[in-house]
Amino acid sequence: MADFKIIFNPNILQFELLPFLMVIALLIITCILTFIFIKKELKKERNK
Amino acid sequence: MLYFSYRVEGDMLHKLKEVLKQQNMITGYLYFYVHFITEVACFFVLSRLIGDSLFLWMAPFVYDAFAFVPQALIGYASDRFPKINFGVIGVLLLLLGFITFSLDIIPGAYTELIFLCLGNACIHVAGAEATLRTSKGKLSHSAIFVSGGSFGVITGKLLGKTSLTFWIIAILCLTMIPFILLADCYKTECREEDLEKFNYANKDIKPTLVILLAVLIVITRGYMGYGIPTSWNKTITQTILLYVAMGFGKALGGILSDAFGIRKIAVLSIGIALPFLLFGDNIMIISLIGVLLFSMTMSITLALLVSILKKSPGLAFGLTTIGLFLGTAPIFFFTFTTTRANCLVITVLTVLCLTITNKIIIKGDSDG
Repeated sequence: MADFKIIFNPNILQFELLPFLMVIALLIITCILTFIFIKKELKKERNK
Repeated sequence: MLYFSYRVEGDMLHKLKEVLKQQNMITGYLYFYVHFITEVACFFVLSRLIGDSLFLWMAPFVYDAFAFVPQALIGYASDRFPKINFGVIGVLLLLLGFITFSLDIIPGAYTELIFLCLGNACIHVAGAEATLRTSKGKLSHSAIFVSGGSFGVITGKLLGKTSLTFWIIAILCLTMIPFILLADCYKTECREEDLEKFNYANKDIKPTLVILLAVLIVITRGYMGYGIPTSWNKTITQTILLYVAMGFGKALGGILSDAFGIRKIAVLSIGIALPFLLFGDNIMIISLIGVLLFSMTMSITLALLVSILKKSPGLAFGLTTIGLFLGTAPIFFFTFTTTRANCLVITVLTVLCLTITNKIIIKGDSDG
């Protein structure tokens, strides 16, 4: 018995592609913006 | 010896009582209820989703993403525009999503779900802002707020499987508004300087690194929260006990940290959890103790992030929810199937959390 099992069904990329891409886009955009906001806030904390 | 142990127990009880009598703990209790109802509504919907296997895989994935990930941006907006009541906005969005889903009046399977998620996200941020700002640097308030979610999740899942009319849940959602408005009254009495009392991060480590490592702990805990094997979990009662253990663990983490010191509780809870998680796959009580202990770090990682981002508690909270999504996302894609693999994963992740915690929490923090 393998230790590891992939449960992702690749058909999702065929039939539910749009919501999947929405999630990826949300994650990327949020991470980029969050990174920018953190840099701004840390700069404010340093200049305090 | 008996006198000594009696005296130690008396001191511990006294410290706990002092923590629970803190002023403005009320925001924690108010948002415990708000968080509870929010998750009841969301999981009521999730448990009534109908569709093929692909949709039933994707819908919870979309839910997790849109409920957790945007909280960082909403949190930042809440920090910058404190006059905007994100709590009330969240309730309205939640109701919009909930009612339109229940009446099936908007085309598109995901539109209502996204309204629900964004409502959930706004309410979470409002809860974080209220509890963190009123806590004067303590963890209990936010811990109690956060713990409400676990109880809400299991209640929503169970109610969703009954024939209960959704209007009852909709009315319960409306009851959140006075709780939110009351919590806001306490929040407006607080000063910005109160957030300066969050000082739990090790100042010898660069702030950016503390943030990354704290989020890594959250990711790890997020994964373990769903990835811990629980073969004993076969009945509804056992599932309820699992979520109750998570909820109590989250609340206790904050309360015990305030009473006995954040570092002590973080290290002990993670360290002691390991054997319970390793041997708890088939034994319920052992597993529940492990889950309770491991859940205790939730408020601790939040406090660490607020210690770095003192002026942006909403953004700090949002970082924990991004971490939670990143931690739970792998579970949608793969699973470890053998006891050996699960034990290895649990051990590696726990040791990682313990090492990081030991490094990033300030040494010699007060005992509360």
